[in-house]
Order: sequence, then C-alpha cells, then structure tokens
Amino acid sequence: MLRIENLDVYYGNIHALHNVSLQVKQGEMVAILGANGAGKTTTLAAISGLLKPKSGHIFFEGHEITGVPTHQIVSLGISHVPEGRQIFTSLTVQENIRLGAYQRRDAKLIQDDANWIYSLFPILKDRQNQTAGTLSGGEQQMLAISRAVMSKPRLLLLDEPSMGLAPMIVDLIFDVIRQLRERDITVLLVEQNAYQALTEADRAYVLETGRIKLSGSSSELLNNEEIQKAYLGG
Amino acid sequence: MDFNYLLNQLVNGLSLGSVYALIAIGYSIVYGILRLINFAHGDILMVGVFAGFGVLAVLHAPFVLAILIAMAIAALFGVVLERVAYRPLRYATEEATMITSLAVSIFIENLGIMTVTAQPRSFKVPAILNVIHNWGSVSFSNMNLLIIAITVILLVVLVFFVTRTDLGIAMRACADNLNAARLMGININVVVSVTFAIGSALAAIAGLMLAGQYGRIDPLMGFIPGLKAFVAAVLGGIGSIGGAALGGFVLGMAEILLVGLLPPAFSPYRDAFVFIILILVLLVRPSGLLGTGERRRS
Amino acid sequence: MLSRRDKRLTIIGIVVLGIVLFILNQVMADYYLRIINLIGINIILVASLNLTNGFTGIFSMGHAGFMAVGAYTSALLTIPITQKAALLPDLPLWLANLHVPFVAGLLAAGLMSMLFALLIGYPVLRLRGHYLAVATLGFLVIVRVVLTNIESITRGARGISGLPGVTNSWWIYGTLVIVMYCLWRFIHSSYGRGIMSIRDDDIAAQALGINITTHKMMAFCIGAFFAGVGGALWGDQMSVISPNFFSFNQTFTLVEMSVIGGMGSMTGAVVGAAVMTIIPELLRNLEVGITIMGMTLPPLYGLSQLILAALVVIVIIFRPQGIMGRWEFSWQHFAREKKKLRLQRQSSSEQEK
Repeated sequence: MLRIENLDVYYGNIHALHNVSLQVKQGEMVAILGANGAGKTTTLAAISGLLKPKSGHIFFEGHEITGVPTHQIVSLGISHVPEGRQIFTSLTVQENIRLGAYQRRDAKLIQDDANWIYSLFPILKDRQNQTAGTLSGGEQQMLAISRAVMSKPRLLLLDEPSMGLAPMIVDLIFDVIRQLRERDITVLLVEQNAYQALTEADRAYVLETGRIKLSGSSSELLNNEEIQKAYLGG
Repeated sequence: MDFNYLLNQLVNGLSLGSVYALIAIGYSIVYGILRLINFAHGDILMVGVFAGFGVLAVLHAPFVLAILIAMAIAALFGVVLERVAYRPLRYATEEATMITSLAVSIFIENLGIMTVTAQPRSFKVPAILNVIHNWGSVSFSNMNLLIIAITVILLVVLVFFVTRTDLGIAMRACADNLNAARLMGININVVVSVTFAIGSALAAIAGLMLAGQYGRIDPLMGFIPGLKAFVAAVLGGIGSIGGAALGGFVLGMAEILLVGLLPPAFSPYRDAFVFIILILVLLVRPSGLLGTGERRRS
Repeated sequence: MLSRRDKRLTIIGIVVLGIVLFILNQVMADYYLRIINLIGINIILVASLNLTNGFTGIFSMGHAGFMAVGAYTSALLTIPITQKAALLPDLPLWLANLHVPFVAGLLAAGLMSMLFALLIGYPVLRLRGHYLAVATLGFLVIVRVVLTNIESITRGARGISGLPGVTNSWWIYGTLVIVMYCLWRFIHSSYGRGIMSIRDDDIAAQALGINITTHKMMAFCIGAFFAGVGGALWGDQMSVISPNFFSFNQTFTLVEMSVIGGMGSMTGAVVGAAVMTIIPELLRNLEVGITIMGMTLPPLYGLSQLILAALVVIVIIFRPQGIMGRWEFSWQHFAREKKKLRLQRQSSSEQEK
C-alpha cells in the first residue's frame, strides 16, 4: 500500500534521512522504532507532505506522492497524527473533530463517524464544547487521533501516541488502534516505547541516525539480542 | 464640562472607532495566520477607495454599487499582492517580511501618485448621508449612523463566518497551528487568499467611510489610518478579531476624547497621542487587551 | 587589530581619497559634486543604521527621527545670530544668543540624538521584532509632530532656513573617515562581538552572560549619535530644514540602501549608499519626462521611488543578504586576490611553455 524507496530528507543542511526504504502492506500495522533524533518523525512528515524529500520516491496505492502538498495527500486517504498532538488549542473539542472531516461533504456520514468516535472516547463527548487547550495530555491525544480518523483515512500515521501518557491511557489508546484496524485502517506507528509497539505491530523497522538498521516481524525483533539490549532493557 | 459635548464626542468616537476596527481586523487576521504585519494594508484601503471613487465620479453609479465594487477590487488587489509579494517570503525571517511589506506600501503609494497624481480630490457622498439628526442636544449625521451600523453588521457576519462555516473555522485553525491545519487537508494558500480578501474588503469600506467623512481622497490617505489601525490591533491583541474590534473602538474613543477634552493647542498632537498609547501598551501589556501572548512562528 | 601593513595601506587609502576629492572639487560640475557629497552623507547614515539593524538585529524604523533631532540641534546652534533672531524671535534667551563653530554643532547634534536614544531606548528596546519596529516608527511620528508644533523653537512646518552651508566634501568625508573608524573599532571590540551574537541568537547570548540590554543600548545610542551627525551635515548642506524632510520615506530610503548594500556589513553600507544615491538621480530624469529614441515619456512622478521599492523586494526575495552579505573589505582579501591572480597568470604562462 505504501512504498518508500531510497528517501533522502534534509533539514536545511542536516541530512536527516539516508536512503531509507520501507513498505507497509494493506491491513498491516508496522512500527518504526529508534532513539530520539533517529529520523522517525521525519519519515512520517515526508509521507504526509510536511517535508519535501531531496531525493527518493514515495508511492501510495500505486500513485507517486513524493513532494505532493499535504492537503492533496489527505484527500488520497492518508492521515497523520503528529508528534505532540498538535491539536487546535483555541478551538473547541467539537470544532477540532469537525475539522478532521474538512474535506468531506457527506454531512450525515460525518455525524455518524463523529458519534462513533465519541463512543470510543466517551470523555471527549463530555468535553465537547470545551476549549481543546484545557484538556489533559491523554485527552488531547484522544482528540488528535479522533480528528485524524474523521477524514476516513485508509492509512493512519501515528507519531508517538504514547508519549508522556499514563499506562492506563496508553492501553486505551492502543485498544482504540486495534478497533481502527478492524475497520480496515492500515497503521504506520512511530514509537519510542519499543515493547508496546512490537507487541501490537506485525512488523517493524529500526531507524538509527537516519538509516534503516534492521527490519523484520515483531516476533523476530522481540527476540533479537541487539534490540533487546538497545531498546528493551534486556 | 458639558454633558452634551461629551455625548457628541462619544458619537464621533464610536464613528472613528468603527473605522479603525474594520481596518484593524484586516491586520489581525493576516497576522494571526502568517505572523506578518502587512504595512501595505492602508494602501490597499486607498486602492479600494479610488476604485469606488472611479465608479461614482466616472460612471455615476449608485453609492451602494460603488461600495460593493470598491470592496471587490480591494479584495482582488489584496489577493494578488499576497500572491506576488508575500507568498515567496512565507518562510523568510520576520525582518525580511517587514521590509517587504514596507516596500510594497511605498510601491503602491507611488503607483498611486504616478497614475492619479498626489493632488487630493473631493469625494462627495449622497446628500442623504449628510442629514443631521438632533436627539435632544446630541447631534449626529446619517453618515455616523451608517458607519456604526455597517460596522456592527459586518462584525456579526464575520463572527458567524468564523464560528459556523467550515472555511471560517479553517481560518481559525490556521491561526492556531498551521502545520496541523495542513494535516486536516486544509489548503493553506486558499485560506490565506481568503483572509487577505476579507481584510482588504473591510479596509475598503472603512476607507470609503473616511473619504465620506473628510470629503477628500489622495494616494497617501491610507498611511496614517493604517498605522493607527495597527496600533488598535495591537491594543486589542493582535491575532484576534474581537481584539481588533475592541482595540479599534477604544482607540477611536481615546483619540476623540483626548482631542476633545484637552485644550485646542494639543489637537495637532493627536497622531502623536496614538503612538504614545502604542508604546505604553507594548510596555505594559504587549499581548493587548484580549490577547493570549506571542507565539513563535511554527 | 590591523597589522602594520594594513594600517599603512589604510592611511594611504585615505590620502588617495583626499587627493581624489580635491581633484573632483576643482573640476567637477556642481551638480555632480553634490551627488558625491550626498553619497558621503548617506554612507554615514547607512553605516549607523547598519550598526543597529544589521549588526545587532534591532529593527529600528526611527532613524530619520534621530536625523531630525541632529539637524535641528545643529541648525539652532550654528545659524548666524541675526538670522536666528529674525526667524525665531521667541527663542529662550540663552539659545538665541548661542552660536558655536560647526564642529561643536555636529558634536551637539550627535549628543542630542544620543540623549533621545537613551530616553526611548530603555522602554523600546525591550520589545522585539515588529513591535520594536512599530514602536520606533511611533517615535519618528512623535518627533515629527512635536517638531511641527513647537513653533517657537522650530518654526514648525515652515522650517528653518539660512543654515551656514559650511558643509563641503572635506567636512563630509572627514567626518565619514572618523565615523567609519569609530564603527570599525566598535564592531571589532568585544562589544561588537556581543551585539552580533545578540543578533544571531539572543537567548543563547544571554545564556553566555552577555548583558542584552547594555549591548543593545550601546548599539542603539551609537547608531543614533551618528544619525544625528549625519542629519546635521545633511541639513547644513541643504541650507534649509523642515519636519517634512524627516519622514518615514526618508528612513525607508536608508533601509533600502542598507538592504541592497548588505545589512551586516560596513562595506555594504558604502556600496548601498553609493548605488542607491546614484540610481535615484538617474531615475529622476525619467520622472520629468524624457525622450528615448524618439518616444517621449510623460512625466511620471514617483517612478523612481516605485522602482527602488520594487528593487528592494526583488533583492529580499532573491538575495536577502544584499550585495555584500556580511563580507567586509579588507586589505588581506585584496592582497589575497592579487596573489591569486598572479599565481594564475604564472601557472598559465608555465602551461604555455
């Protein structure tokens, strides 16, 4: 479904991604692991069009999307939940969710989807008319995910959904991610919490200083000694 | 101190405040999204006014039509301006964008001088607007009424737009977090263009009101009102529509009251007062009356 | 610190400059001489602007305000007493009877401007970015409004005429050499490095223990001082001053020169001032209507300003660092270039053998 070939991305003069290639098949959940600064967020940003790669190609469902502006990528069916939630703090919860469906025109279905989201995250319904900036970290993450799902994506990019959240909330979020997968949403997950990621995902890639160091199925990687030492505290 | 005098001054203050409010909104909404102070805003106002003037004087069209055309031309001009001068600099330093917007302002002013000469022309509004009403001993003209009424109506429409329509909410989203707005599938270029269009149209109306009030127009007419409206925007909290409106009214009132209450020798200092107010605001409460604090550009 | 060779070269350069000026003064027509003099004044003004804007990152739009203060101070002190009495009968007695040599007038101009800079500096320099710019713009407006209205001291909008007109190439370029020397010393001192670090990242600079306020104030005040001196020279050279001359357009013209020459470079100030003084003169001919190749262009007032403004925008978009960038002329570069050329010639002549 998603194929990245030989991607090179620069931040100014800093070479952030070196010749990165990876793929995600439909229905899978793939994780990208790595330490801070390894380039995980950069990879997602390149996919969603926030960053333009210097060279390389990104294909989604057969179409080339390298360098395509973000709003078009969203219309193609990719949704990105960025690092740090990035919700609209001055808008209400409801407005945030409504904006997720910005490109859609089917008012009735939008409302149905919104209701479904609220069923997944009941606390958001309670806080519907509150300004998003007043939400707790966990609630903001729920909002960010809800917002992204409202565009009916086929591929969901999640950047560190568990960062800074209490374990209970992390469980809830991964629970919801599982439910999203049941609805045929393919997920590409970036996580520092390697254990959680590998338990949930089918496959994973490991990024180190902008290069793919390892890849394989989750079970392989879980049992890999290097990974255990570097990321799993073993 | 005459109570009636005070009331009359209040009416004038509201009137002037309305004009500042409309212009200030243009500054605020553009700044909110792009963190850009469009110093050429006052000159866009001038372009709109001259367009209206052209329609009135040359085509002898009805006043309402002149207003609409002025708004349309100003909006178009604003959009083109953004596309040509500001979009290439969207990710440039603050300094670069400031210099550019100042240069654009000078460019437009001189374009005006070149094409229509610096000579002021007289601007006549339909006689009906000059009719004066007397309520007890307070007097105000239809013009005052019209200015205040139009401003209130436009404010209501604008608030409705940004809270109930998708595009309006998208505008607020862009001002809140530009990257996140992109991820919602919002086309930033379209939103920016619409923002410029709205701001410019409002400025055109304000300009026509000024023209009607003072009876003359010239290519440099937008400069000082533009600066004062900027002060109003900062006063109210730049980036916020409500702030711009509030700032506009407060500044208009303050200017009129200062001039009205102080001895006549101080009247020529009214422009200086406005800037003293600015400096005070920036020192005491830079986020303005309704502002929530500076955010670095994302 | 300059090496002995460089010092010698600089002195030789100054002497050469003096000789050139002497010759020009003898042979050049008045019109062209005025332009040369104007370039000199503009260099002083732009160099002082570069100090605040380019080197320190303080975007001050009030430079014309300091010029105005300097011009009026110098005027009030240097016009003949009889003239003063005629124009300004209401001056306070001590001022009406005061007449000083031109040098003192220049110094007073600089000091007065610096005083104003001190006064508005503390409140205004706390601001950043466009707030600072607009606050300084406000200062400019306030100065103009005040100058236009305290008629007893300034004659308001009618302005003051009869300035001694002592200014000539020697005054201007002499002052210029002194100004450039002072600025050069300041920039190459630890204070200079301090202000540049503030420009690049003021939070980091603060973390390093650099007192932001003091450094900014220094740059601001020194810039104002020389702006005042420049304004005084300018006013004297025009023989007439009025508040209208010190408009926002004036500041912006200086900003244009600064941007095009290169804001972070003193050499840029020289280049920018020279280029941007000559071009408007050339363009001014277009304004009154000229005949090119048989086609008569109608008078187009404002065309020169328009073209310059457009030029600035183009420079900002395509080459924001200006012509010079942050590059400074130095004898070492000069020597290196000469050496390079010599080596190139040697190697190419060897290849031919």
